[in-house]
Amino acid sequence: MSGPGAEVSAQRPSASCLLRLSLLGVVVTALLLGGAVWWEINDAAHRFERESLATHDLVSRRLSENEAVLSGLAALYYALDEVDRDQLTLYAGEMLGRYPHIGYIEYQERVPAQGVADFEQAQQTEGYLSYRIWEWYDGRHRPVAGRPFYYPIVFIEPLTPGRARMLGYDVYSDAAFRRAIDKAIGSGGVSASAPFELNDGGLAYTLFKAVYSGRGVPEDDTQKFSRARRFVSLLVKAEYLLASSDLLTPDASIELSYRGEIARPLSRIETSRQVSPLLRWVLPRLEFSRMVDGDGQPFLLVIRKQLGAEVFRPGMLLGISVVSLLLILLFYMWRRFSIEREHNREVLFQHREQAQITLHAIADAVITTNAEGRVEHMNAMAEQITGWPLAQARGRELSEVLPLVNEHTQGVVPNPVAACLREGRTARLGEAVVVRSRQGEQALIMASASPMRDREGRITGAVLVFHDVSEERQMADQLAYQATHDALTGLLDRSEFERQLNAALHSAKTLGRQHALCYMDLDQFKVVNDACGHAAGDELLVQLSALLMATVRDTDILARLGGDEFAVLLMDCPLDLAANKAESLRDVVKSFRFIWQGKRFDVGFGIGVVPVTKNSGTTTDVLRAADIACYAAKSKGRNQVFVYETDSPELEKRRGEMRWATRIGEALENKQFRLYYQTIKPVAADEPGVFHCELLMRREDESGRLASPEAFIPAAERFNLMADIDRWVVSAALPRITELTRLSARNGERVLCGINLSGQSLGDGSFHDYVSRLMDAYAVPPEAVCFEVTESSAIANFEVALDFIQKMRARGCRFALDDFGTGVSSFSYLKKLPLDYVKIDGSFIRDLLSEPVDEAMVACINRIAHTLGIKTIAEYVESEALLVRLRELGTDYAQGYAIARPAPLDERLRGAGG
Amino acid sequence: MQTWQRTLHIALALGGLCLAMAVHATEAPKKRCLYVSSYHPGYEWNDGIERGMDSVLQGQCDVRRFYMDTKRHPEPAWAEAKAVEALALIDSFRPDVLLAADDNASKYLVMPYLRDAALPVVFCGVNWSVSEYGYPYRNATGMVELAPLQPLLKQIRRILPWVHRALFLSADVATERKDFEYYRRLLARKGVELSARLVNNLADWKQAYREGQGYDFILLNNNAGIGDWDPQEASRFVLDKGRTLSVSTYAWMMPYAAFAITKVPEEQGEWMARVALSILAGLSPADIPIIPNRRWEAWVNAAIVRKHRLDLPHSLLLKAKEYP
Repeated sequence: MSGPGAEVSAQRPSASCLLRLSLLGVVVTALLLGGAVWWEINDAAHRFERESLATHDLVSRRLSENEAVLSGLAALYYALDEVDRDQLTLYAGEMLGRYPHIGYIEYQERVPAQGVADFEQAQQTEGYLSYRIWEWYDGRHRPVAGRPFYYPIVFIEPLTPGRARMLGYDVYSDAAFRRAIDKAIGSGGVSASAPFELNDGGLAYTLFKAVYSGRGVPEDDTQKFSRARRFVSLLVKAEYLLASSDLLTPDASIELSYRGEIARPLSRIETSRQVSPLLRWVLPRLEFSRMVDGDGQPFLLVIRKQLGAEVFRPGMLLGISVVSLLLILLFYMWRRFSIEREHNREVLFQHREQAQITLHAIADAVITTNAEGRVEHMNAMAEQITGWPLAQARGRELSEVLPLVNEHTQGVVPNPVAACLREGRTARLGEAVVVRSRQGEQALIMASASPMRDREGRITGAVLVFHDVSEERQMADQLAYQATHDALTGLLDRSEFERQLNAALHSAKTLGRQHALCYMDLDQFKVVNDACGHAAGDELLVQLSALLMATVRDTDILARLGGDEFAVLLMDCPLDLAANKAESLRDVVKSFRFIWQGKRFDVGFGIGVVPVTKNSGTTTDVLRAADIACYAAKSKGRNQVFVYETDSPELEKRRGEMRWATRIGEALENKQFRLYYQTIKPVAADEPGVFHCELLMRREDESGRLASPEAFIPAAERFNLMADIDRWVVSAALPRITELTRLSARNGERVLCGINLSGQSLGDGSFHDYVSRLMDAYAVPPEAVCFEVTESSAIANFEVALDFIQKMRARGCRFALDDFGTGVSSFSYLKKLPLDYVKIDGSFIRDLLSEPVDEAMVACINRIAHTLGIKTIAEYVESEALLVRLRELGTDYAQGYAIARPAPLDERLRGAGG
Repeated sequence: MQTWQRTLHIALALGGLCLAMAVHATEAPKKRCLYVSSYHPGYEWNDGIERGMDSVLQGQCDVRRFYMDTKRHPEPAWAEAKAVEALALIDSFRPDVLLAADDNASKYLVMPYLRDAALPVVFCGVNWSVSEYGYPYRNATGMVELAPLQPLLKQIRRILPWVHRALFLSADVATERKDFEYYRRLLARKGVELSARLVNNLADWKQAYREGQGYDFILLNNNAGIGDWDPQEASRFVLDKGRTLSVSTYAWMMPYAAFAITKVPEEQGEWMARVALSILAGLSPADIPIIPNRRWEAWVNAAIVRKHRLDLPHSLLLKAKEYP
């Protein structure tokens, strides 16, 4: 056995030893217990005798109290000339309250036969109006007669309605009472009747005491009978004689029985506790039996008690147990001590072995030294890291075996063992240090040294524990890099850039340094992505990043903020210098050509330059300003640089657009947009029976002024609000188109209304469901709806837009390509998109009469469209001459002030309605 | 279903039924007791009776109370009208037992309308004798009200052994006239001649009290019925003008009497309630005898005793309650 469990069991005495110990314990305990129980039984018997005698005395006293009560009452008559009922009531009430075993107290008066009428009259005069002297006869009461005298009840306390009937009852007429009365007269003391049953089932007896005329009890028997003028009596309820909490024999059965002519139990109380059959068999039953002298009755008091578990008192059992256990424990400890000594050497050896094995098994390197810091022991891992075998290292200075140098400065680092031995407490390296092995290999380690002490607390050496953290360090560095750099380009990411910008702002505010921020947004990135896929887009970003990295200074901070947005924080660079830098960057990029699978793309940057100075506000303020500046740059065209100036009108314009973003939301919420329409007419000849128009929108502000879409559409596009505007237009237009169709049908006129859709809506996959639901809801005739989409919006998300156009055309709606000629103007889109109309951009129409190129463009568009079966609509037709020329060029429809000015759609509705 | 389960369900159902019946039994309607007082609430004698009655009944029956108020309205027509009202109440309330306090309830209600009727009647506070109302009936029993004249006279004789002339001073109402007759007869047997002054106002009472100074003692019976009674004025008057021993049998006359042996109205109410409960429990009124009151209390007005320089027996001073 070699585990800790084996050590413990090895220290225990053997089984035979334990058996001997147990036998010894049983014998000692049995002897002690037997003696203690014998002593306890004797003690309990004596105690029972004393308690029983006390109980006997108590019952005797209680009986004698009855006589005292009657004697006291009799004494009232002897002492007072006249005892009235009030006095009797007071006395009886006091006694009844004091002695619960007294049922009631009565008073009877001797009435001679010849005085019955006068006596009854006297009682009636005193208020007992129906008072009569009577006796029981054959279960009923009748007036007394035939005897020389009677003893009717005159007073009863407590007087209850039921008991009041007994007033006037001649107690002497009852044989049992008569005997007791005669005996009471003859004895001059108290005499009791035999026990009888009460109506409520209890047993009782009545005590009588005669009150004689004159003073005291006559000596002569004849005198006693002649002078016994009154009786006082009381009823004793037998069951209450024992009913009291002050009986002095606990845990016993107490029985009081009558031992007259007919023996009968009177009262019994049982306070015994349950005793198990085994204890009944083992322990004796105690009994006390004695006659009770009281009320002149032959009463027998019997008290029985079965000894039980109380004999085995907890203190006694505890004492015996403790003595036995102490004896056994002493022997056991002596035996164990001798066994333990035998095993200690073996255990010590095992511990040393286990420690050695454990040390070699753990992954940490461990070196123990003596108090001088010389190596005493090393585990395998320590040997591996230091390159020193234990045999050669033992006894050498630790600094020789484990030389530590600083990771960054390469300076020598003191070994923590020295501090540990010097200060007597655990010492740790604050950071990872480099250890050079004997073979020259380096490892990064964390180490701590703890002192070893002997029993007196003296330091005997130290334990150095260290482990190689090279891999962890490498991984941590990598994670930190990933957390702050863009995975694609390797540039700083946005969060890190913001942190750097914040630091730059801090230096500007605290040190007055001047920096600048170039915010760069790539032009044509979407075109590359759409044309060649995302892989090409990614490659473009990588190449551009490398180009920019090579262009900026080492002190500048270049980051990719997301998508095609880049930023350079030009440290310690005034704004004019920064503008030059931005120009350089722009030129570098402008000269860059991106080639992907044989295709060549020119790319450019819109660059916004903002100063970072002590007046720049927060990081957010700087970035917002840079964004606006960049936006302004892009608004100027491709490859533009815009330097932030506080009062720049361009910036103000962009800010205005930003304000529009808020107003658009409010206008949607407050229903400030209005629908207008502008009529479109055939150029060649009037097309009777058709009302063709384009729906336009205006915003009406709080003062009723109208704003045209040019004011807010750029802001809506920039801030992605076009989808909301489109949904409002569709929801407002469709029910009106239905209504307009219905009203126009009265005049035999068809309706075709153009609704403009933005690229954001066309690219929204859910937009089709939205439009379809509304068309169903408003029962819109699809042939009355023509959606107008721009060329750029259609190609921005071509697949989704094509899907939308095909579905809506399948439903019966028509489509027009709006502003054709201003965007990519690829005729191939005319071929790819299923269109009904092409709307030639107004820029070609406006100068048509004077610009041959524009005329050629319009003619070309007309020809190609007609070849594809698409009708053309010329926009911005503002003069009759233009109309004539367009007719000559073969344009199908015209729209512009020459035809009609925009007007509110609701007016048209009212007009059509009549 | 298993047999044992069925048995269990039946047992549970029977148990529930028994429980419901037990609950129903415990919720049986309370017996109804109608208390008809000859007087009015606030009159001390009546209030004492009610206190005694309530202490015994304690919610064992549903008590309705009716006051004939004949002390303040002594005219017979009033009492007769009130009796008719009480009868109407009996018809509507349907009491299980009627508790009638004092003479007029017996005289105007019980005797003319309820004699030997099915409704059990318990009376109390009927002065001296019930024979004038024809008691006992088969359906009536109760407690008569005796003034403690014997103990009163015993104490008077210990102060004035020669006493032979006394004045009975009281309100001029029916019960007082009845009281006087009984007092007169009883005292005559004891050798004392009793004269009466029955008055209707305080001035007459004061005048009579002045006249009483010529007697051996004045028996101040009830002042209830004297409409303009002013306790402060009467008390001041007695202290100033009195010299002769004045006694009473009513506790509320103690401001004007040197000492009193008084009846205890609570005793009347308690007995009446106990008898009522016994009747409700099944006892017949005919089996319960009519009994008199048995308790009384002694009172001493120390101020009057001092002012009138009276020498009361030491035992009386020890036993009596001191007023105020």
